[in-house]
Amino acid sequence: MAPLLEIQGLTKRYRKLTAVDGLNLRIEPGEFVGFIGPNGAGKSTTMGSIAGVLNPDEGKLEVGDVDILADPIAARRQISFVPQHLELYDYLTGLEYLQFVAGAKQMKDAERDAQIEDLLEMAGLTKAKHRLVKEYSGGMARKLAICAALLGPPKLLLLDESFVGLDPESTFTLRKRLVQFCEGGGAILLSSHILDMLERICTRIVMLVDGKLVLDESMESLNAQFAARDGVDTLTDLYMIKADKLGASETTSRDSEE
Amino acid sequence: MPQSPTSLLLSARKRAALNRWSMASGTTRASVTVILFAVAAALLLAGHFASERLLIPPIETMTPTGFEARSKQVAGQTAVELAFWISTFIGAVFSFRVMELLFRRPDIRTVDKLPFPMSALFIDRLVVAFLEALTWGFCASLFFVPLAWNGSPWGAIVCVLLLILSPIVTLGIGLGVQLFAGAGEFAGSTSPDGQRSVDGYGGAGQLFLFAPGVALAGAAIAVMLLKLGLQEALRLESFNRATATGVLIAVSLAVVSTFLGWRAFRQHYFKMLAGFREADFVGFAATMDYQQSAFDQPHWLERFLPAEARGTFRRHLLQYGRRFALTRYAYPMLWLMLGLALFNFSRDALPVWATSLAPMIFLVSLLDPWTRQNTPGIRTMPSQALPVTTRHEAMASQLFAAREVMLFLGPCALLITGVPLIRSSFVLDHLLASALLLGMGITVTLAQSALARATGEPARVMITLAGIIPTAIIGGASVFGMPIGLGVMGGLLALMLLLGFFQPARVAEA
Repeated sequence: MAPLLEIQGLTKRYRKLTAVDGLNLRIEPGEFVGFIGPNGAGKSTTMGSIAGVLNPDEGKLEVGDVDILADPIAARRQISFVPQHLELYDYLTGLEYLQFVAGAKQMKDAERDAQIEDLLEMAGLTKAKHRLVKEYSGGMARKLAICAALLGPPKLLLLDESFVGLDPESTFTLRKRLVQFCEGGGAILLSSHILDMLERICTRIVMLVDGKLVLDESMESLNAQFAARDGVDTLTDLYMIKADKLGASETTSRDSEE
Repeated sequence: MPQSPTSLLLSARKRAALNRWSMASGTTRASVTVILFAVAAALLLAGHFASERLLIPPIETMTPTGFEARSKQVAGQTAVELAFWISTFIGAVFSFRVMELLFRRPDIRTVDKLPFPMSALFIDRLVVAFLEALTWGFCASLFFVPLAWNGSPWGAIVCVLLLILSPIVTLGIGLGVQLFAGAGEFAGSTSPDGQRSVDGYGGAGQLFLFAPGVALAGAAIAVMLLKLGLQEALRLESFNRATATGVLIAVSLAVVSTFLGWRAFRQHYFKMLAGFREADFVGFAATMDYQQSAFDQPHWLERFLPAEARGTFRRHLLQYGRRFALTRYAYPMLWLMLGLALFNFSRDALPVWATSLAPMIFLVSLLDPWTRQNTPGIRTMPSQALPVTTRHEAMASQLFAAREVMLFLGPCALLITGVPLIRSSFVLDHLLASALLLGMGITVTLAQSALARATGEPARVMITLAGIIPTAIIGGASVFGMPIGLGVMGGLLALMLLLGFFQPARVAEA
């Protein structure tokens, strides 16, 4: 099967700091990839590069058969990105914002309205749809951004720390919706530090430490390892080992430098 | 039927503006309306009073027997000269503003992840910048409208046209230069396997940073041509071939530059945008090498504060000093320029320097430390999380803001006062000028302090108001004379002190 996302040798430097170092990654349709790593490991930089909002220094990035750097518009038709720091139109209402995004994705009116209603319902934002985004709480704004990202729908969804600040009910509904999205042939790259949740919903885990790929395994294979290995029963256990083995002390010093 | 991408972008912008207006409180809407009308009325009034002097023919045209016979041609020449310098000043600011409008406004980051065609994004940017250029030009030109009913309708027409067309021409040229420089900087090979050919942080990257200056140079030449052409309309009191030629050359330069800019935009805009995003979002360790913790070192000014407020003062000192290092340098530089202008102060030359300095004062007020101190990135509310009362927090902040202003204004005022004392001439004038300068600084700071704290955020309206106050004072001084100007300033100062005194004191829970 042709990969939905293919990254070859992605390198991104911020002056002396190499944030991502020669990353190779393939994501197939239907995969739900959990993207983990310590703070400053290069997760957001990788996601920003895939979304086309950061310029990589080296490497090749393709979504479908589109070169993300050479044809950014075509790439944006296939990718939706919810960044860690939200960037929304504050003075549009929730409904207007979703209509705007649907318009940008050239959705037909009937299809647009049905999807918007459905997503608002899913996110529990129906009652707040006529309120200005500015008046939304942090969690509501994040849910709205995820709804906007799901419009279309895109082929690849990039979610950077998108579960931060969501209430349990929203987290539950959203998780279900994201799993459905992948079952429908879409793919998700979700960066998060909530490892228990990733363990339950992801089909694959990718881990970066100091910009380098240190783990890339299917959840199935990881579960088998957890069952077989003493002392490594959860993703958190594995994370601690990987992070420590590959220089947790170095990571701490990188964080303080940043 | 889906909307076209361009219309979608523009209608979202319009909708957001309408929402902002319709959902604002009645008081806010009334305040904004009153302020807008007050500004317009003040500009018209100031223009009306200044008309007589603006219509005096330049001194160069005087002969022992009176004005030259050809003096008719220069009846509005002084006004046109002033309009030209104001245009150049606006051009200087707008050259930088174009960069902001193209790459750094938050609304770009709202749409840059969506699949909008390049043409739609370009038109959107162009419309935003054009509307802003028009607003600048329109506001500045109000001052010259009264020439129309004071004997020089052609003077008014020429000045208004010059001030409205100049920012538009500056926009066109700025757009082209910035995008061209951006393309040169960020068009390096990044795909499929190549390493980026240029360093986005230094080396060739500096070209991009200097682009606004290059744009300004180009725009100044175009505005000069515009002025030369329009001057002929003033002289002959009709639009003629010379006018058409001047306007045509300037506008053509802007159109060609915009077109070239579009080509660069189409090919490399996202890379440029990414470059700016990187520069804005990535926290470089630029200052960390030499900075060490200094919180345990008390500042001598702290002794004027109660013990409970000292920590807040020290936090301001460290946080503000590091976060806004550049602003701290820009702020005194502007005041220094004002001081230098006042150094040559003389009551006879009052109208000329008053009108030239007014926009600079506005700029100074935008850079005011208090405003910066209240921006979301730096503002923390110790009283909400720590056992510090709002009163103590306010005391620390006031002292800090006063220190920031006085640190640079004090020496400036001494310079203005001191040097003439040595020369033993115009002592009174220079004393007055120093007092005016110090008063302006304190008024701006206190105004923003009182008003920003009252609303909880440094709203633009407040900043505008703070800029208008000293501008009005100078305008008042130029029209009515120095004593009245100082009197007005004293009144405002007292008002601001009073407002500051009646701040609602909230005591946080420990």
